[in-house]
Amino acid sequence: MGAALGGALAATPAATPSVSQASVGSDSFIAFFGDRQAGVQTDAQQHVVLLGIDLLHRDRDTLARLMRLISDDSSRLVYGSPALADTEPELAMNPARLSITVGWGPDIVRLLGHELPAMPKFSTDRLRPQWGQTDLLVQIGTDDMVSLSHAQRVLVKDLATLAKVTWTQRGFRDVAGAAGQSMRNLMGQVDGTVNPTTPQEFEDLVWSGNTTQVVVRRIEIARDRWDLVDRAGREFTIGRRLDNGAPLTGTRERDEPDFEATDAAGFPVIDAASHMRRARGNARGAQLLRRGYNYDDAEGAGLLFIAFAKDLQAQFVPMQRRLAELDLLNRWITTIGSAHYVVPPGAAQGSWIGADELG
Amino acid sequence: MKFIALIAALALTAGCSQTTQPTSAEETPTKAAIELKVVDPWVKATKQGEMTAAFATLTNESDQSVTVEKASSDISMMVELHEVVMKDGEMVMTPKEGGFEIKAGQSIALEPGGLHIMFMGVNKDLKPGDDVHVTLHFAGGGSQEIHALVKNFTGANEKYNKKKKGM
Amino acid sequence: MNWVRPAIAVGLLWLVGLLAPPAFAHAGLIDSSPAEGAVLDAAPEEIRLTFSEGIAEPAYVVLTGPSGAKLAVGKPTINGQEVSQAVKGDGPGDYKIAFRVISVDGHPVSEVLRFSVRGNPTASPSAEPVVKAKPAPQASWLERHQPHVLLGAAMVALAVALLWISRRSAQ
Repeated sequence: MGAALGGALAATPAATPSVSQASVGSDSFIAFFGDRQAGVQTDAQQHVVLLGIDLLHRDRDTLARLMRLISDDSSRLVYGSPALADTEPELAMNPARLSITVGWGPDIVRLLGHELPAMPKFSTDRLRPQWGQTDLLVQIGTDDMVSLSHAQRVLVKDLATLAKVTWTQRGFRDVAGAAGQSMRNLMGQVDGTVNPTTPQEFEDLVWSGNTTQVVVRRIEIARDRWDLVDRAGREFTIGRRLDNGAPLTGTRERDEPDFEATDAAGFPVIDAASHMRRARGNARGAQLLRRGYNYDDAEGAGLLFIAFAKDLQAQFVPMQRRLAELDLLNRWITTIGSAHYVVPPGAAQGSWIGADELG
Repeated sequence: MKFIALIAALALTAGCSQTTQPTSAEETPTKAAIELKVVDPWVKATKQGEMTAAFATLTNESDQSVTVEKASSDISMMVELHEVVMKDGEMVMTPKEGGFEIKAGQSIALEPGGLHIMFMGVNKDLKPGDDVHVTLHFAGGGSQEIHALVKNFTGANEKYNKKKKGM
Repeated sequence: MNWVRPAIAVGLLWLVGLLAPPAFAHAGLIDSSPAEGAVLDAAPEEIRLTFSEGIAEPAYVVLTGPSGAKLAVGKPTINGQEVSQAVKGDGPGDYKIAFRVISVDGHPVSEVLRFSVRGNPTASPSAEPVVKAKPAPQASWLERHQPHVLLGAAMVALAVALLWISRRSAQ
C-alpha cells in the first residue's frame, strides 16, 4: 500500500507543519527548510511550472547530486537571494511567495528500495507519451512571472549535466476571490470547492508522516464544442451554478449538495451523471487536496489537474474510475497526460531534500 | 582560606581556557582563535586534469587582521590564491602576493572575475552537486576547512597569467 | 433624398435581426408513442420518443402505472434523435411518462406525458386486434421550421430591395 512508503520515508515524526504561509504581496517568504516540503499546503500561488525530469543516469550518485543542487538553489531563491553562481542575481530579488517542491516517480522510489504502485489505465484517457511519467517532478510556484522564469532557468541550468527536462507544463490561476471563492477553470467553472481546510483534514487526507503523493494530469478542453453548450447545459453537466459555484440545490459555493432533491418530473436536480455527483461517489466531504492550474498554449487549453493524497490508490483511483465510467463532462474533456510521484519529507536547516535517503 | 583561594583560582583559569565550539558544518577549526565566517562557498565544475576555482565570502569577525596565506585540498596537488588584474588591456588571473588579508571586521568576496582559490589541475572530475573540501591556512598558524558545492558556471573566463617568479 | 437607401437597408436588416433563430437549437420532443393524451386498448410494450435534434447518453425514461408501479424494463436505447424504453404493463388506468434526455449540445430536456389504457374486461388480445393509437399529427414542416423560413424570406426580400435600389441609382 502506498501508505507504507510514506511511513518508510518519514524520517521525523509528524510534528506541526513548519511550512509558513506568506500572503499575496507580503514581504514574508515561504520557508524552504522544514519537516514537510512547501508547495503542498501552501496557498496556491498565481503561477506554476511543472518540470518532468529524467536522470541521464538513474543511480544514487546522480540523484544525490541533483537533490543537493535543487535544494541549494531553492533554499536561496525562496528567500530572495541569488543562487550560487547566479548569472542574474537581481532577478532573484522578488521571490513573490516562491516555493519549490520535488517529487520522486516510481523508478526513483524503486531505486531507493521502496515501491510506488503504478497508476492504472482509465478508459477515457488518451495519454500522449510526451506528457508521461518521469523520474522526478519539480513544481515551482510563485505570484510573479519573473520569479518563475528565473527559478526555472537556474534549476534547468544546474540540472543540465545530470538530467533532461522531458516536459514543461506552465499554469496560471486567479488568486482566491472575495469570500474565499475557489479559482475558475477555463470552462468558466468555479473549481476546487471540496478540499481539505482544517489541519485535521490535512492530516487525514494528505500527509503520511511528512510525505505525500501527487498526481499530475493534463486535461484538455474541447473548447469549440464547449462553445455550443448553453449556460443551462453547462450547469447541468457539472451539477453546480456557474455564477458562484453553488450546487444546483444550494445558494453558496460551500453548501452541501442535496442529491435527493428532485424536479417537477421526478428526476434529481443534480443529475446522477453530473460531474460533481460522479466525483463524489459515496464520500462525505473532501477526498484529496486539489491544487490545480489552468493552461493555455499553442496546442490547446485546459487544466493541469494536480492532486495530493496520502494514498493515490485509495483516494484518487476509485474517483477517477467512477468518472471514466460515467461523467457528463467527459464529452468535452480529455486527459492527455498523467504522471504521479511521492513527495519526500522536507529538508532540515542546512541540509537538503533526500539527505536522509541518499546522504 | 588558602585552600579556598586555590580552588577559586583553578576554577577561574579553567573558565578562561575553554575553547569555542564550531558553529556550523563548514567551520571546523583545528586550532583555537582564528575562525572566519564563510558564506556561499562553491567550486566551478570541471573535468579531471583541468583547472578550476573555489569562491566564497570570507568575513573576519575578530578584532585582529587575518591573512589566508595558502589553501589545500585533496582534489588538487597545486592550489594557489589568485587575483584578477588588468594586463595589456585584458583581465588576467595571477597569484596574489602575500595571500588574502582580511582586516578586522571586514569581508572579502572570492568570486568569478575577482579573488579566488585556484586549483591548477584537479585529480578527478568535479561534477555539479559534488561536495569539495578546501582547507584555508592562516599566516601565523591555524587552518579552517570549508565545504563547497560544485556548480556549473560558464561566465567570467579570465586568462591565466603565470608569473615568471617560481610558479 | 439620399437617406432613403440606407434607411431601407437598415429597416430590412432590423427585420432580419428580429427573425433570426436562436443560435443553437436544443432537442425538443416532436413525437411520442404513446402520444400525449392517447387512450389505448392495451398497455404499450415500448415507449418511443422522437426529438428534433440528436440525443446523447444518458437518457432517463420513467413510466409509472396506475398502481404507482415503475414499469421500465432495462435501460433506454438511444438511436440518433430517437429514444426507446421497453416497459411492462400495469392494467387499465392512467399512465405517466416522465423523461429527461440530454441534447448533443449538452442541454437537458425534460417533460411529463400522460396516456391511459381502457378498462375492457370482455376484450382479449386474440379476439380483437390491438390498435395502437396513431402518433399525434406531426407539426408540418413549415410550422417546425417557421423561424428559418421567415429568415430566408426576409433575406430574399432584402436582396431584392437592395438590387432595386442600386438599379434605381444607376439609371
